[in-house]
Amino acid sequence: MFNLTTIEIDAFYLTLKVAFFSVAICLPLGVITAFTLSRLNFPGKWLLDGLVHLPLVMPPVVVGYMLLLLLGRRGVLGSWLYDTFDVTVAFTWKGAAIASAVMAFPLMVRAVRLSLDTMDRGLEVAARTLGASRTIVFLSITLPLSLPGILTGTILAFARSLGEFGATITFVSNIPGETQTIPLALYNFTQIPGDQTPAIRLLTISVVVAFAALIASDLLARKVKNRLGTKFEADQ
Amino acid sequence: MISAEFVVERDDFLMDIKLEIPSIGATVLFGPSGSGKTTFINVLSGITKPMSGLIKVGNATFFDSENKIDLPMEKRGIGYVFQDGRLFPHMSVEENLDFGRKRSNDKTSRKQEIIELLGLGQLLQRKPSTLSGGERQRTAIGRAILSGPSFLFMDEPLAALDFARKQEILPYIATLKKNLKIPIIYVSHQMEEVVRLADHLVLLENGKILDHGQIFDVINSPSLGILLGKDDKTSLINCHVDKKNGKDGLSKLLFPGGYFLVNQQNLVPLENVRIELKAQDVALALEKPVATSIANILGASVAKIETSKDTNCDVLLSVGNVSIWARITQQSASKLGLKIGSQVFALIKSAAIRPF
Repeated sequence: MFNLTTIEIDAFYLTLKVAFFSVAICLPLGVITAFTLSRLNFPGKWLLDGLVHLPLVMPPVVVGYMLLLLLGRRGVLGSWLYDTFDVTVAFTWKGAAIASAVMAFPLMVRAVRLSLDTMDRGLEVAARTLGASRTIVFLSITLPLSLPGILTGTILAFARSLGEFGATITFVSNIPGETQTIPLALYNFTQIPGDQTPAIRLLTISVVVAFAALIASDLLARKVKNRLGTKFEADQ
Repeated sequence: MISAEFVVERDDFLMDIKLEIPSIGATVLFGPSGSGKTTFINVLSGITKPMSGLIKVGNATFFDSENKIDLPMEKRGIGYVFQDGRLFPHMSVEENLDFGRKRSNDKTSRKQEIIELLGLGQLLQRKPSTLSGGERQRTAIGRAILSGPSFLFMDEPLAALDFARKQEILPYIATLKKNLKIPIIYVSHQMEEVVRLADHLVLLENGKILDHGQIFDVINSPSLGILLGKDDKTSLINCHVDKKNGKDGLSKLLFPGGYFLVNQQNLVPLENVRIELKAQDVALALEKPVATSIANILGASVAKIETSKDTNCDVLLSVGNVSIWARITQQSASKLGLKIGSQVFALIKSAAIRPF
């Protein structure tokens, strides 16, 4: 039962790879976007806010199709990427990572922003009166204090990427070894009548990976809390 | 010297300020809640931007609306102690202290001195969440001083503390003022802090300056009486604790013009203290009483007589170089035949003298 086939092993590693790069794209962009939305005021802020949240409220298939139109070989950005850098993202694992990143982005931004919005802004003012420039304040006060939110956002984005299906299958299709992540492979197996063992194996892998991510996030969260000194808050 | 002239908008009123603050000693901004005290120091430190104005500290221009100068707060060199401390929760006490120090020009000295002065030695490795309210505020004060400021602003640093903690911290601030020679602007609505710390006093109400000047002058300003809802006068006298205690456990406080005997054992010999003396606690006599329970009998001359609306009058006495107010009834004043220049004796019970 637990002798994994090549398809399943490929799907497992691919899923981790796609999720990892999805988070790698989401994390820096998400923190910057969250900071912009939380701390800065500028005309058109509502538009940025809306754009960020679109993938959360639109059908994933629509997002996938939009990505195809934008980043496909003949797409607006896609043709430019191909002509200039000889890079193709459609129907590759890179495209799968991008699709996952777009779908996970609002979750990342929301989690980080919540952290930034609830932070005591007075601490940033205090840091500036002590001679720290805006950049130093961001790096030494804002960023460390929003670590819990960043951590939550990362876990959510990672989990969302593990499970991404609709946008991925629309944008990069279901190619074994290239774009066939666990959910896509599982979908394939369920479409074929007969032996359900491979599907159940993939299901098991999914559950194990998800649990491992949850446990890892819990351990990290505790560590962060200790560092922020919130462990003693109950004694006050 | 700070010279500030600015207009700043608040929710409830427009604050229009023109004021000069000396760069020696402690200036207390006193007024009821919502009078604009905090707004005032926030404008000076760059946290709040005024609509227009000109703010100069020493030779530096902090704000000049005409020439579009608005120095960022990190470049103003102001140490700010916030009401709520605002220690960085992810840093230890020592890291908090070092945060401003790392960025100041004066990295070398002081750290050890300040740690000792504020009693922070045992706390250096602790996180702010494990500190008591008083310890947090002491850390916040130390952090602000170690950033090497040219002015120290304190926004009701004791407001969040209970009575016992206040009594714990006030002496630290008083020592600081004496030892460090950093000019302080201290926001308060507690008379006790004013009496204890202020060299200069600025009275604020609804964004307007009612009165300002030397504490010894402003302490009896009619505006202060209105703010406090009372019309009695107070005398503040700087004294020096004598090197040995007086007889019977009383402490002897010397001032230019004589001495007071007070019933207080915890005064440190040779320290400077300031005493507060309410006018109604001073009685007058034409001849020196012989048999009396009153411990302080001072020869004085009448400098001024102010008749108030009711049946009282306030008599300003000169004792040496020091002025003391006495409140007596108008009937007593005419019975004694008081006029300017009269030689009298001021009678003060030692229990009425409150040293700080």
